[in-house]
Amino acid sequence: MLGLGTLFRAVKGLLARPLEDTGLLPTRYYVREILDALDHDNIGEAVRLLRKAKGALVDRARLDLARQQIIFRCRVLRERHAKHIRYLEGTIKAYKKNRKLPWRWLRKDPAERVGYYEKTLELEQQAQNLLEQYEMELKDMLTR
Amino acid sequence: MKEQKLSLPGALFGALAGLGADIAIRELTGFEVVSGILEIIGAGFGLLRIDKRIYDSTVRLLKGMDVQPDDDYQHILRRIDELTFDLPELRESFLKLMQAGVRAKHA
Repeated sequence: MLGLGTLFRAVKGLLARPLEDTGLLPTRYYVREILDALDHDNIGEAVRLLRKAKGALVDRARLDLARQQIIFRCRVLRERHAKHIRYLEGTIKAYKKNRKLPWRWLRKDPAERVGYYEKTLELEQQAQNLLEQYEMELKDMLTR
Repeated sequence: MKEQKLSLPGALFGALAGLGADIAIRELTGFEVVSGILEIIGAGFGLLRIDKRIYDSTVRLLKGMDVQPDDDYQHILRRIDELTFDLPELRESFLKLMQAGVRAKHA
């Protein structure tokens, strides 16, 4: 049975989505969408919606709390990435050190695995930089 | 009963007059009438529970912190302090949640 929720989602998909970019929709709509994006760790979408929201007087405090929540999640995720980066750097370093030992010369080179580690490290660093950029942008929004 | 007729030109004229009035009010007084009405409609349509939604999100964020099962209360508080040093409102919300959790545990 079609419920009100389904109807609301259909109306939202048809009307609200195209109007989102205009910034005309109520601030509460943006806050709700920001929190939904945050639940899925979609920081980029949350920041995009925050940029669009004008922050009407009655809901400005709520919008600012949503902004703070995004910053907090950015920090938690950055810490997680930093932990992964430390582990990967340690693993790659240990591999490079061990490779130089004479009794390892004849052992088959697990170059493929190291390549995988290096690629993962690069991706982790990119993610960390992106989160840092978002955090800086969100901090600047405080003064607008 | 007198039959009512709908007039398309009349509706268009009404829409244009409304748009004109909105622009004139915005230009003369700075008030955004349409945005204000949309705010009220938005508050009316299911968005009234926004505070509950913010609360749920705050709880989820707190649970999403990388905390070890054997971390004590003070350690978690220190971590919250570090991560929210410039986010006063969120810090306050977290502390209230933590205190409520501790009270519930002792009760």
